[in-house]
Amino acid sequence: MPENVLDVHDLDVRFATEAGTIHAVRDVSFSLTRGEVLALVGESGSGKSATAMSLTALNRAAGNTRVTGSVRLHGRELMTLSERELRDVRGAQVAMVFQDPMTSLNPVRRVGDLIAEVIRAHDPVPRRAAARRAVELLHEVGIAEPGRRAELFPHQLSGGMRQRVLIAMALALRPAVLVADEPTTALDVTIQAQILRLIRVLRAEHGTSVLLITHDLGVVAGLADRVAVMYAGRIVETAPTSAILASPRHPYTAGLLESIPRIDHPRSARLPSIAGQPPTLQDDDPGCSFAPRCRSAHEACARRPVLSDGIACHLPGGRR
Amino acid sequence: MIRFVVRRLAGLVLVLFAVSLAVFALFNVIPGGDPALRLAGRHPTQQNIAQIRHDWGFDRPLPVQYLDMMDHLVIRRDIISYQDQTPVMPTIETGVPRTLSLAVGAAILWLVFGVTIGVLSGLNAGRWLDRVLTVVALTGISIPIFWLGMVLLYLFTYRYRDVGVFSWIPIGGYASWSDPIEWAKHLIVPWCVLAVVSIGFYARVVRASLLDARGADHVRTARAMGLSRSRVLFRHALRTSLIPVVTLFGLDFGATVGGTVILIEKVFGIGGVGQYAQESVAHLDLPPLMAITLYGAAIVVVANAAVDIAYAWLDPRIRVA
Ligand SMILES: Nc1ncnc2c1ncn2[C@@H]1O[C@H](COP(=O)(O)OP(=O)(O)O)[C@@H](O)[C@H]1O
Ligand SMILES: [Mg+2]
Repeated sequence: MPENVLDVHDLDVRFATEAGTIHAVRDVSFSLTRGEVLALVGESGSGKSATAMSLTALNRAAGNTRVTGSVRLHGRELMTLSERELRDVRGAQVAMVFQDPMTSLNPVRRVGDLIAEVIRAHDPVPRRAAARRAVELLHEVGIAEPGRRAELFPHQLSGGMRQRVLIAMALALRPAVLVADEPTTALDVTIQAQILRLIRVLRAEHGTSVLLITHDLGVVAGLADRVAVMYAGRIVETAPTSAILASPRHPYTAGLLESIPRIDHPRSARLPSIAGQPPTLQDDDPGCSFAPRCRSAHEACARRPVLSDGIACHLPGGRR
Repeated sequence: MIRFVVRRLAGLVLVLFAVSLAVFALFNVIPGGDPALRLAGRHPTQQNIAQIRHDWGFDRPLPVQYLDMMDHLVIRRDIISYQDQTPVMPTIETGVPRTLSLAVGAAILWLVFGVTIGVLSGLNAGRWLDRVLTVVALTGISIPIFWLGMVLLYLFTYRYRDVGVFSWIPIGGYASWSDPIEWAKHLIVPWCVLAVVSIGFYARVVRASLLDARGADHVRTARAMGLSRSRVLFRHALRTSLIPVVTLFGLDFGATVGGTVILIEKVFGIGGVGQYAQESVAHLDLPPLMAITLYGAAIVVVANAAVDIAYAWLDPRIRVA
């Protein structure tokens, strides 16, 4: 069994808001082996970003957030590190790419300069060397004429190009883990495919482990080795990608799968979507949080199912 | 850059032309504006008035009068006032450095303190330092300027004149640049009075803008990449949050030169152009008004160009190709 690069255990995230405490992430555990791509999938609001931000305690600065649990990188606990110590982890060992490339780059700095800044934050190379390295990285992420492009400001680049810049920045220090939070959601379909291909190539070349966050199961198929499905702050199912796509066991996963547009279905047919709304994350109901929306809910669902053998459901596969 | 300067200079000429036309036209339509009547004294005869009209050239067509005035003002620079028939330019030339010293000094104070207080407040949002600074800023915003000016003048130069720490403060007036220490001594109280409202206001703007920027996506990226706290603050959050300050400053500087400065000049007896302008308006004295307006317009245009340069440096998105 390969040693885990990242181990997340019982991660719990609560936000104190004026409307009460939002319990956004609940007892989430998962691990990543070297070079593995794990997809974290779930509807918007299910706690995926909160999970991602907690890995390097990025949400610690906001006073209203409480995170508990354990995040270990190569066996080293990150949760107890100081802000100072975390800086050496962020970007260098665990790097992030966020959803919106239009706003995620500083608008007033040149992109080459932004990448070089990240390099120099972790590696005391001379300015010139960092600038050269930035151009190489732009080339590596598939930006043509990288020398010229490095001199441009973000607004002079397209969305896909900006996402490539962010990926270049994230990969500058060859991190062990890349967290990509909805990296393609803001992009159009052809660009989406290119960015996913790029992540696949980089993973293969550098053995980077990837936590790919998405609400779109369609994105998962070509890239992820494993899928963890998240609902209302909990992981409700986890399995190898091929297994989950072929035979989802949790009714929620099945619902997500049905709502993917498919080539072999008539275009005019309305996409089914899961009826109802996800629960508000304020209250901790004692039962299965998916039960109110579940086609196969029954009495047993008044108790919360525990995640075992990759599934948290009393009636895996639904009522037959 | 050369194109920018050329374009701005052309703009300046156009603005000055338009402003001078407007002032001239306005002066010739307002009631009581006829300078001949004013020059003629209390009980003029028709003949007196006609004589004055002729002597001063008021009987010529308006366009000719306008061009003649511009000639005396801009080219010969020997224009004289209607009110007391003294040359205008020397008075303005002594006044401009005084007014600019007052306005620029105050502007530097309000920028430095406004931004510093705003940053400190924003960084400590919700903590006691922020609360204290918020009270200070709001107090600053709410103080009536002329009142503060008079109170300080009274306190420092009369009531507590004998208290050692205040005894160096002069009783108003102005000292020339050539002695920088005296110059600053004379201006320090007026500077503070003039800056105090803006310091409060700018501090609030910077604080809000910094809090906004700290939650911005690109600042999150900077943190996620492991940049140091000071880098995240100064190179990422602060730089984008200063953009609104520059916008405000462009508007405020012009407004200050054309407004509050006049008040403060009068309270502290600085003898700048503002005071001169105020007296000229009271006497409906066109030549000095024209000269002062043109000077003012030129200063505002130049200040705006400086603001645009600062803008382009702060925000490449608006840089013209
Ligand atoms: N800083 C925050 N303060 C309060 N609530 C938050 C904060 N961040 C996220 N939330 C809430 O936590 C829940 C999960 O959010 P998030 O992790 O962003 O979901 P996802 O990424 O899966 O769409 C949502 O209900 C969201 O409103
Ligand atoms: Mg999200």
